[in-house]
Amino acid sequence: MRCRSMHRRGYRAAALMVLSASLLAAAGCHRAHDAARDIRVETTLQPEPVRVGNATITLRIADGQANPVRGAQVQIEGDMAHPGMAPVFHDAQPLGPGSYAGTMKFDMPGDWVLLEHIRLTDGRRIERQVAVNGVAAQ
Amino acid sequence: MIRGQGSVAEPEEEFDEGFGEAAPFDLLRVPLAGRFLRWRHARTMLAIPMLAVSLVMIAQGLLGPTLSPKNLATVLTWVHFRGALVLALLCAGNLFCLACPFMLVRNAMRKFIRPRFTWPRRLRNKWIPVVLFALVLFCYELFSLWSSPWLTAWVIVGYFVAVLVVDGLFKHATFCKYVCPIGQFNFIAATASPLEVAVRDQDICTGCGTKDCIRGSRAPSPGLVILQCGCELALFQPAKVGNMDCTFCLDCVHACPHDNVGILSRLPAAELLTDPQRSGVGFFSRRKDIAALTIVFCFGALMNAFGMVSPVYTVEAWLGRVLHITQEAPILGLLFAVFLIVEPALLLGGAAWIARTWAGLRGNWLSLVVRYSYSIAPLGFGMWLAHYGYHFFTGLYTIVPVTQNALMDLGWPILGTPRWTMVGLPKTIVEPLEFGFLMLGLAGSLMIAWRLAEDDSENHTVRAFTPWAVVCGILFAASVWLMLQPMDMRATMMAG
Repeated sequence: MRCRSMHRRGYRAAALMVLSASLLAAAGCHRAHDAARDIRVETTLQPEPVRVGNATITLRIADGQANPVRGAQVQIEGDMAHPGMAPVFHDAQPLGPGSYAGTMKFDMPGDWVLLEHIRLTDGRRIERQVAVNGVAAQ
Repeated sequence: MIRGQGSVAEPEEEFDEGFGEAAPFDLLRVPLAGRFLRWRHARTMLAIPMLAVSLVMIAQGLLGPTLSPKNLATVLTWVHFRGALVLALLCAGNLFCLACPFMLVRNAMRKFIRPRFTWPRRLRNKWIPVVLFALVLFCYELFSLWSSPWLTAWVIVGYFVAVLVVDGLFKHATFCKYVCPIGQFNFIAATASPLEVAVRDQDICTGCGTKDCIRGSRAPSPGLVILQCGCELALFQPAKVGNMDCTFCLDCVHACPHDNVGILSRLPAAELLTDPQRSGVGFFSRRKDIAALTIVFCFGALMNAFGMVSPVYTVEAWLGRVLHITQEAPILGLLFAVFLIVEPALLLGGAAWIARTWAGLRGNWLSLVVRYSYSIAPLGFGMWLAHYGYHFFTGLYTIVPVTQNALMDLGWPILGTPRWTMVGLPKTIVEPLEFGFLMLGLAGSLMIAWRLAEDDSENHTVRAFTPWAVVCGILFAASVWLMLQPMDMRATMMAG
């Protein structure tokens, strides 16, 4: 009897844990809302194609009317496409009206993804993702 | 037996006398861990968190961040799970199968659905897993599963569905024994593990009349309700040798009325030094399917690592130009055929031919290939350890920021903002470990090849051993070369 009761309790605990995990995951897995869809970001890399080593990344940020967006804070994050690798972070500095540039070190060959974290002067935050495929060894 | 307590399976053993003198370590005798594992619901309790994590991974993979390094599905699967799996196999045994979340779901399903069929006799071998194992490795490269949380989640979902379909239709542990590619990986790798589920005292088994370890036990009352399952993988404990096909489910431990089954220590890979008849398996030397599985396990380790270094793109681009093919699948298929069929056929076939001609080994070419193919299992395991261990150790802490990020997405940042700079151990520590794993594998493979050569040719042991040692040397050199290549992980191979 005792064994059967423990068995039942075990299954109840299992069901509860599984249910909680599912709810937690489902609730937590909503996609990030883009706060500034009208903002356009154009990214260029130099050299092209990118090789292992330093590359200059330039962002041109414009609003819906193609006016340059000034005063934004831009941070560029470089991630390998494979999980478990160290990301690299660099701040981009303003170059001119709506133009921001930074130097990033691609320290491994392979596929990279750039995450551009942009904070506008009105407090809105934007995140753009740019694939940099096939960074070649030097 | 390896423990030197005498066995119906292995009558003559001399190499392990030294090991047999001392009583083996028994995990089930360890105060807390042993008591827990002897508890009937230990496996369920271990599988519950694994199932919960699997569900989180599926949900995150399907709905969470699309970037692989930021998603729990990809980080846990391709960094932590694989690494923890091989390290557990190295340090203990087949612990993943013990805590398998798929079995938890299957057992729950079987409370409602009783399977009616038995697995067809023709399929009671490892040929399906051989194909599935190779297919998994192929799909991993072709679809760059590591870079896609979405696909990774579907792989996990697919696994659950496959378990439910196969074990919903067929009795016993059909999926584990005849289908599961992860299980087969574990079975081959576990031949080199230091722990084994085995009987403590053969004499007790000799006097046992009920054989509950294989039959299970039923209530004497009408209806014959099953009280405890016996081994669902058809491994009869007194005649069981080694870890092949053992999922560490511990049903035999719970079923044995004499408390005569333990998790015992042994010399790693010792089960490959001899070729006794194994319960539920037979003679390794007569199992071409298990030999093929071992070959795919070893050469697949090389192919899997080759798919992640720069030279693979040069080779693919060259093949594409020569063959005028622009799609990746046929080129990759060709590479797999070379790695998993042509290369083993040349190396092992060549070694068998030389050993037969030079040392006068008896038996035909194929039987020698089958017999000696098991000797490369430790080397293959060393390669998997080096590869998966690399990702595991260098990305060890990435689980922290990814979990922080998931909780923050949930609007519940109890662990703070993600610390993306937390990565893992430095390469200066990890690289020596990689080479250590490879050397360990080489030592194990040479030891087995030597032992088999000794058995096959007392007068020309060196001649019988040398061709296989050369094969081991070539595989080791290839593994070291691969480890020294710069890692280059691209989702589309042909692009380069």
